[in-house]
Amino acid sequence: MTGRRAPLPLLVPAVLAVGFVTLPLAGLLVRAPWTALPALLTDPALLTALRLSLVCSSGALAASLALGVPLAWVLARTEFRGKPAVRALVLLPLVLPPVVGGVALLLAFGRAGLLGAPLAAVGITLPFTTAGAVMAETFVALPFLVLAVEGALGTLDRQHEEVAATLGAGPLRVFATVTLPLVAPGVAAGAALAWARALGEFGATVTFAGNLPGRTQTLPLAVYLALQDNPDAAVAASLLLLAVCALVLVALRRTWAVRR
Amino acid sequence: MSSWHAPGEPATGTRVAADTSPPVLPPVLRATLRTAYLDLHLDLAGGERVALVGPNGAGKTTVLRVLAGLGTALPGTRVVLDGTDVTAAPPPARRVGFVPHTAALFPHLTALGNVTYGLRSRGAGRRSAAAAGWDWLDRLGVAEVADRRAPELSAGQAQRVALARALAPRPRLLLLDEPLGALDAQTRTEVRRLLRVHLAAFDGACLLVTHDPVEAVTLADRIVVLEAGRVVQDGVPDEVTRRPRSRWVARLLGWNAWLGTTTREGLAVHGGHVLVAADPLPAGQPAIATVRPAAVAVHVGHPEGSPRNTWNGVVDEVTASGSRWRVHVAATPPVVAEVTPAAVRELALTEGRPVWVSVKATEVRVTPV
Repeated sequence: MTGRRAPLPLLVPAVLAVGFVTLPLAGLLVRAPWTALPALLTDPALLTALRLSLVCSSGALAASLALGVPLAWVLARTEFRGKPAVRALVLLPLVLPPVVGGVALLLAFGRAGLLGAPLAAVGITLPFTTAGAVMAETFVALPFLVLAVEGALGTLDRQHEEVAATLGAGPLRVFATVTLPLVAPGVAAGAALAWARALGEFGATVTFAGNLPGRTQTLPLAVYLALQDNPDAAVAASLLLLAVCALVLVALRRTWAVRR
Repeated sequence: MSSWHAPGEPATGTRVAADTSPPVLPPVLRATLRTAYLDLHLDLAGGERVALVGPNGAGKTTVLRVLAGLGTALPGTRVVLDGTDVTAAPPPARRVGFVPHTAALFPHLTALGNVTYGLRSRGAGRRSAAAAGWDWLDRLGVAEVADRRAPELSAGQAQRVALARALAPRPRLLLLDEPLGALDAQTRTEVRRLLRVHLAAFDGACLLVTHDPVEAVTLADRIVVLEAGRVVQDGVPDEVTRRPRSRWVARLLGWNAWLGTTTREGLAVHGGHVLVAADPLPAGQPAIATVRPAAVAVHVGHPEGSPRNTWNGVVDEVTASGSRWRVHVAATPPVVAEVTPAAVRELALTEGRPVWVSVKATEVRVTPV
């Protein structure tokens, strides 16, 4: 074995930490109703929630990419007054309790909200709809993407972009043909994190979009409800989410390996 | 053919006569940089290759960036390209090719993709760009790696592709930032030869920044020496190497160089010692005295005979360079002598040995600075 032996006062908390994270996962695996699993996982209600979860989280990812990548570029490449404030504002959902985010979304886009009232006047309703669920998930997922992409842009060697400019490419063309391909690993990492965050979103979704099966009841909401009357179904659904997240981690590891 | 004249001004006889004389081509590049750190003016004619040399921090990279239009525009600069003021124009609006120090090929594109990038950006169709790209790769001898991605290329191949990429959109001004700096000795010779051929065929103006005197002398037909943002010498390579007007260039050439003030005899070096020159300048002006190390004789005792300049010191360091060895003597002023290995042995020239040095007055060259 190479490297040094960790001193006991550091080693013990470290082992405890690993155990603290591992034990609940072990519990999930040990108590899983493995024999009943096929039937539980093919339950129409669960499949509906799973499908909705995939649709909503993908929608949230698409929205995060469409808004977040340009925002990251603006934050990384331009100077303007109040930039620190803008960055803090964008990153706020990282630390904000999701329920508070849901309440805030209601106050903005609810029927009587700032923007919700004019929208309702032209017949657009967002709260308690699938679109609302996508919005809630985007709200919490966006900062992850912005952080990752801004970081990648910050460490990018500007030389390639400068050469591209001297070769006749305007700023937009440079962005699309040079910048974006070069920060692709960072975008992929940010996208994976953002998507995983959107997939697991609970608080903002239930507050702003409610819990309507087939419309806004995503997998995390289904798990929470099932825990009351069908614990086995809840465990099965949890396993499913765990598997999906493990896949994201594996995908991330590969992106990071490529970057190195 | 119409002659140019200001509005309202009649075309006079002299202007008509001017039409018959051989046309004086306006310079391709006319740049003035007067900023906090720079004070220089550059005129480059079409087909002219100018090497910009100077120590680190002299401002060479800033000059390239200003000419290419990279970064925020510096106040006090003015860049005129082919008669058009492009000072405020962004890089795409200038016809400037730029080869950075590290080649900086786009890593996600193939060699061909790199070369066609500029053509496509300037509106060429996919097919015509590819044809021209192949042609450029072929001319630079790297057509066989056209399909390889940039990271798979060797440093020499990458540098050639970078040159092809810069030349393909037919720039009017080509900027090379230490084009051979990242290459090993053998590849450097190879790429230098290639560069010489292609720069000779290039009809625009070319400005290359370099640290390497061999590169400057072999690639450029004019050398501009920049020191602390100012031009200290601007001339043909022959003149710059024969009469270096800066310590930096002299040192680069391996010459002894001392700054001082001219006297009736030669040069009073800063620090006191007077060097006698056979060909002194009028007294009282700042100048540089240069002496080839091979013209410095080393003695263990006080030299006899007629050398006009003799002084003593202590051997500081002996370094071997080929068949001649360089003896660094700590003295006032310090001096480097080039002697044969046999002399080093016979005179036992090792560190700490007290020695005398002598230089003939005819070997001391005094140049105003």
